[in-house]
Amino acid sequence: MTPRTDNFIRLFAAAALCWVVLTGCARDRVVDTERSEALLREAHMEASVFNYNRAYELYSGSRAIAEVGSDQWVEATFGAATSGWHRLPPNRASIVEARTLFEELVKRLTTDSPYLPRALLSLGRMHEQVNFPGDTEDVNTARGYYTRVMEEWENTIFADEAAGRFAASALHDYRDPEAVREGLERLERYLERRTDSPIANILWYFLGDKYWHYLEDAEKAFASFERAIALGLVERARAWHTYWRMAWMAERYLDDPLGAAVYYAKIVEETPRSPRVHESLAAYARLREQFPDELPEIKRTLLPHEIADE
Amino acid sequence: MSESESSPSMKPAWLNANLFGAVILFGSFIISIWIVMVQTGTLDRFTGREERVVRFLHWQLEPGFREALDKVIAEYNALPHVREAGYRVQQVAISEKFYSQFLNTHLISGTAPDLSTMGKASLASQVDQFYEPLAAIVDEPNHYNTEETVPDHLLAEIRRALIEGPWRDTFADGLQSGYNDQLKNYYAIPVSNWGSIRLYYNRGYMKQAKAIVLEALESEVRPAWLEARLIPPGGTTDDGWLPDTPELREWLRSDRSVDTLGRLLLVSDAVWELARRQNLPFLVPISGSSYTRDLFADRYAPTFHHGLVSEFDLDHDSNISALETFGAWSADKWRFEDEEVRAYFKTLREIATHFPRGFLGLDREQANRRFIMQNAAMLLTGGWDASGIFKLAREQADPFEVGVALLPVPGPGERFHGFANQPPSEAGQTLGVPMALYKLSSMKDEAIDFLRYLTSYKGNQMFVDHSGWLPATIGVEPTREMRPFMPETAGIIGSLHLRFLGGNVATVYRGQLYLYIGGDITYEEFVANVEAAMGDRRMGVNRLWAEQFQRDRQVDRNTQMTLSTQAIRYLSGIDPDAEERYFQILQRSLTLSNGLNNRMMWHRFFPGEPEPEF
Repeated sequence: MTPRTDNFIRLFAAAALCWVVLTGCARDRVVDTERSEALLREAHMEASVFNYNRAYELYSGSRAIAEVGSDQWVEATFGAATSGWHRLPPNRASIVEARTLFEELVKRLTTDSPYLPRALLSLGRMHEQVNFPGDTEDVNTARGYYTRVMEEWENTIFADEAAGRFAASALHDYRDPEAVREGLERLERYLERRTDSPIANILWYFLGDKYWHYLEDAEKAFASFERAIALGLVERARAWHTYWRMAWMAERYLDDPLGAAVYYAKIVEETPRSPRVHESLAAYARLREQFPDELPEIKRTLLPHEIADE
Repeated sequence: MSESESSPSMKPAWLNANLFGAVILFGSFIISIWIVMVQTGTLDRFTGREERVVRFLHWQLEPGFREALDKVIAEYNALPHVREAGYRVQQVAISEKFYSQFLNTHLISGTAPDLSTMGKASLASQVDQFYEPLAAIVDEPNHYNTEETVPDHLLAEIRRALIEGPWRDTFADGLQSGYNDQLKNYYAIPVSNWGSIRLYYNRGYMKQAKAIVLEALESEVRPAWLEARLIPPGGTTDDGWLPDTPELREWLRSDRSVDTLGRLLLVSDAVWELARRQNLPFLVPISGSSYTRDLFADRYAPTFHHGLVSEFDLDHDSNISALETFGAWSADKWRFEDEEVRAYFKTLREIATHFPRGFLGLDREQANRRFIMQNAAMLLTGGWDASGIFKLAREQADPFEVGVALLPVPGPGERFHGFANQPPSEAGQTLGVPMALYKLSSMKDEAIDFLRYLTSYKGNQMFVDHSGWLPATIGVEPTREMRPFMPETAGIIGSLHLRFLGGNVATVYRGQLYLYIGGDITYEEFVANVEAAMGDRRMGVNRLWAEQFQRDRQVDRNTQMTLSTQAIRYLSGIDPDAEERYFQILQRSLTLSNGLNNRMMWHRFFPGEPEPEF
């Protein structure tokens, strides 16, 4: 074989190899919208039942054959990132990959896509949580993501959620009451400005809970709970729980027996099946003696068997 | 060749023990295939005789339940629209012991019954994976409640709620028992009420015991057991359990049930005396068992601890958590030597002296049987055992009457009355037998229709009348016998969380408690051993704190996972209600605060001290 022939064979082999590689790569990116959609639907079902390991495979499969940048691709990428985040057992590689996928969405999407703020909030949460053994919280990076959502989606529910997350991130400094107070007051100021937030009740409830538990500030806690109640508590069936805390704070810490009586009465009237009814009735009766003209009579709702007895 | 030599060679070589084994194996395989085909309906599909059956799985084998359910099912199966649709409902009752294995296996294999009672089976806790959410369904009125089927004598507001209100509002607990707080959706429909814990007593023995006490009180020389029980004139509650008062004597002459702790102990003493006099070697005052022991411990905890613990509820969530209990102990806010704590354990031990010997080795069934056989004057158990006990007591060769009372608390003038004088509240009690709809059921609409019928005013009243169980539906009246089992709203909540969280402390606590109430060790020994376990640097309460911190993080991650699921569902448009659920769960996620709440609690109990890590 002459050197020339030898070179020709080498060149041919290299070209063949390139062809194989390139067609192989091209095959990886072959778009199959129908198949991608089918995988996507299946992945949603698996994610709905928390089977994130399987969902991850399906979303990844769907993403691989979806047209890059299409709605389908966005949905599949978001799904792959989310299920990668929650895959079991969690490890550094799966978390890094999930972050990369969320970041890819962040780079490609425009602000009109609801997936963008959701991806940013997810990135914030991932940095805030300890995701696998040996992982550490990165609260500052998380706050950066929350801040971006608050700024770029101002006056939307995404900004409201981010404001709540930002305030909750202050609780990482639980050993420093001033830092916690600053975080909670920041959210309070936000809510005073954003009066029509659809999740204001949730955020005021959060403030009430944390002003008490982290700062023992009964006044702020009581006022925050009042705002949440005025807007409607999310967990109506457990409303007695909030009323009891308020009555307790009013009586024990705020020197407001009238306020306490109001909330004891609410327990009896609105949550007659709660386990605090008996104690609330006794407390109400005790306080009523102090305010005979100010407190209305309780019209106690009857329990079914009491109705049957009557 | 002789016959005896030739006969073995006559047997064909293939006819041997191996073949016999193979035939049995093959036969078993065919039978198994047959059973699976019958159970899954595959055979019927092959033969074209497919029968559509809604299967209703539960573990309530107590007398009355299955019979009553059969009655309701028969009525339902006879309804014109059910006959026309060509299906029927069938109950499948499985023993509590095998329920978990049975349901787990069928949930995984995709062959679970259409309806099954939630709980017991470990896989059933993966609610969203196996069960159908019911929020949209329970928002609709129950069409079986109509002007014709709901009687006029009910209160107008109850009647209106039954006929016009959403189905969920027709349940006595507002369907709280079917609500999954984590997933913010309804996943089960309760069909009955297990009823509250009550003290059952044999009226005959009670009467005789009271007569013995009265006789002893009026005798010139009082027996030692009475002297030990009564507070002597001029004495204090340290000298006895209850005073001899005109009210006590009046009660002894009456038919009234035991209404104070002192009287419970007094008649228990008298039952021992009765057993001695009548030579009844097996008769004991209280039919104790390992099951009963925990019931007494749980029921009395709020009564004795209530006044002590309100200061430890740092987050005011009306629940004294294990960590609040440990924190308060470590911070010296309560000790085992405190009067309320010592009194609680002393009362448990005093009550246990009236249990049969070796009660820790007895279970619930054995305790019930002892009471039915009239070898015990009293028994503590719940409403779920009531109809069986009443029935069996009537059917005995020597029938006897059963009385029912609240577990009494110390009465005025009695020992411990100063701080332990209120019963625990039963107001938060939720309904029972929660039935969930299998996600892969092919009869979802039919199954829901049956649940609507069973929990309608008419269906539930029929069930209650025949089972003797308590109603799930508002307006439905329990039978006269069952009325005492309705939840008692008067009472208090809050007690030390002494069950601990597992680990070495819980093991030591349980072991030492049983030794103490069994009379094998003194209170001082019990306390010394438990406190040594709690204070242990490696295995004590500090480890429990550290483990809880880890769990808190996991709970926070799990909640985030639920949030993420809802986000996918609403962004992809596969579930229009998911957005609302997302924000409901957001409140929980925010208040969990990255699992930091218990770390904050540590900081409040022990400012400046580093959090335990292991």
